[in-house]
Amino acid sequence: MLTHASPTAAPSLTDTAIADAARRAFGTAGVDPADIGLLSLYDCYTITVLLTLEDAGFCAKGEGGDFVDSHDLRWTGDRPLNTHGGQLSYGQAGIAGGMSHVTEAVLQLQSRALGRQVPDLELAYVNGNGGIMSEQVGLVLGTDR
Amino acid sequence: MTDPGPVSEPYWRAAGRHELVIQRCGSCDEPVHYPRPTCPCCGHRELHWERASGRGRVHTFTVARRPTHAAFTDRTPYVIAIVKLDEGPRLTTNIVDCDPDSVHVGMGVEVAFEDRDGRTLPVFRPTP
Repeated sequence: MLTHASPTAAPSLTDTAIADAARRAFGTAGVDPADIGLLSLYDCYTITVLLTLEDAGFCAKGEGGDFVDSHDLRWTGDRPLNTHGGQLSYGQAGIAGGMSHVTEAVLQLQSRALGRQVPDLELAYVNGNGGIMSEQVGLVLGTDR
Repeated sequence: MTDPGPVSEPYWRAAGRHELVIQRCGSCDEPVHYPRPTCPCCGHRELHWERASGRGRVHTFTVARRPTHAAFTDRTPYVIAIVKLDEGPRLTTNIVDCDPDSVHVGMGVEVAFEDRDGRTLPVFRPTP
């Protein structure tokens, strides 16, 4: 989904096109946010993660902060999120930064995430963000069931 | 500051005359800012320049208390804002001539012009 180029033209400063991208991804996959075992979210800033959790439907609007406070986001936790550390941890690797969220989800689903393997994982949600919160991609990845 | 390009040059030249201008589509009449070669609404290629009222309202803002560039060192704290012009388009600018803590969303503002280093920058101040 693409909504704008300059943030001056953003349709909304608080609601993002993540909602449309996620709705399409979940609809295509035929699953709900509650089914997702791993969140692999583009995290150029902390606010990006909170907006993604809210707009992709993992919590209600305005409750992103409460969500990360009330869940354990580690690979051993109840809501594993960016188990590769995320870009907030290792730096924003340009275009490759977005792909890191895809490769981590694939490694986890293939049970190849050495030292950080989420147990019994079947579904992962990946969000890609570009521009200035203006270009959004949602991806649901799963194992062969 | 952005260097004027072929599309934006009329905007900066008008600012030099202390006039705020926007584009308007010759086909669908949509008011357009920032300067563009084609209408973002209908794709028409003929956009005309017209003088804007210079009045608008604060759409959103933040206060920079640390300078992000050496040129702003003597200006902190300063207000970075998106102003929605009465004509419709929004632009990124500074709110000046007021206490940064008095700025609020919806605040009425009018254009002013700041001549700096051979360039003129449209900024906004509270409407009296």
